[in-house]
Amino acid sequence: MAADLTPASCAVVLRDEATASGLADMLHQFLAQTVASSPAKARLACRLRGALLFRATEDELLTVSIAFSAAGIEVGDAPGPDPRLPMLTADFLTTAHLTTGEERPLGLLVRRRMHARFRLGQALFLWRVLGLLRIAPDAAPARAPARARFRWALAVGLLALAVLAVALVALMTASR
Amino acid sequence: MSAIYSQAWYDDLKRLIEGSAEFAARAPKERIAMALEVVGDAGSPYVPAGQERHYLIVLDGAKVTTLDLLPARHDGRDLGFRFTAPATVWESIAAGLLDPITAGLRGTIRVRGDMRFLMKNADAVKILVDLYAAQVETDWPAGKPPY
Repeated sequence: MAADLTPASCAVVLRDEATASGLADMLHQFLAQTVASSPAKARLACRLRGALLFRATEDELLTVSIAFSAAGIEVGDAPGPDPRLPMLTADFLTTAHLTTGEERPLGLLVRRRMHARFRLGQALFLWRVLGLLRIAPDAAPARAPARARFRWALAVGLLALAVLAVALVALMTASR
Repeated sequence: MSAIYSQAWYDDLKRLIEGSAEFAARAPKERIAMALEVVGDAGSPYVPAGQERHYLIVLDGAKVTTLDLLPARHDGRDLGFRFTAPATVWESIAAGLLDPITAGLRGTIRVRGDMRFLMKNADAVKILVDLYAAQVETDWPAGKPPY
């Protein structure tokens, strides 16, 4: 039995829902809510292909697989580590801090609060999954994008003026 | 010392939460309502199989504005989270025998709600569950876990 909490475009399903661990259940809810809340996250999730394992430090018997395919995202309990799949191991608080951006993946790895096992070819996939799991900061005030656009326009305008000035100087020098 | 599941026990818990400077510093700014569901099981001398106890806890900042025993299961309206577990699990946590985070990860406590909110407020959640587990001054009139 599987539960689908998201639109059909990028379905997030929980495998064997009745017997799923809390970790699988919560990761399923987290992913489904993330994908449902943001079209950008949904697009990213739909484009991902591959699978990874997530293991809880609190109970290393708990390993959950997250598989991304054309059919959607499937979350479910895994029997244990699989050497073919990349694996992240972290405790609840570390995982939370990772998703909120309070901690950076590299910092956690260096301080050994998170363990990652992956092959070089899986690094980009893993990085993109971590990007998907990252909770977007609370919506910025509506003025922020307009302000950013104004700054860009100002920069482009100043650059254009500078180019024009250089061209004029070059023309005047050439005409003497 | 107050008896498990008594109003006095929950009043003690409320005082513990509101007296925690650590929780006050980390408490979510938003008002959050949670249902705590105790499902009776054969192992518990307090909530036998077939019975259920439903609590509503409302936090507003670091204040516990509601901590009520409900007459029936909460209908889910305006509810942020629902935590469901067998009575023996809640009792084992209150007795300090079971780590609530591990219980949640294993699925012995079922958690339903906004997981992104849970992640954003994970430190506050950890403090809350530790406070629940740290309430060791509990009277167990019908016996203390493990049963």
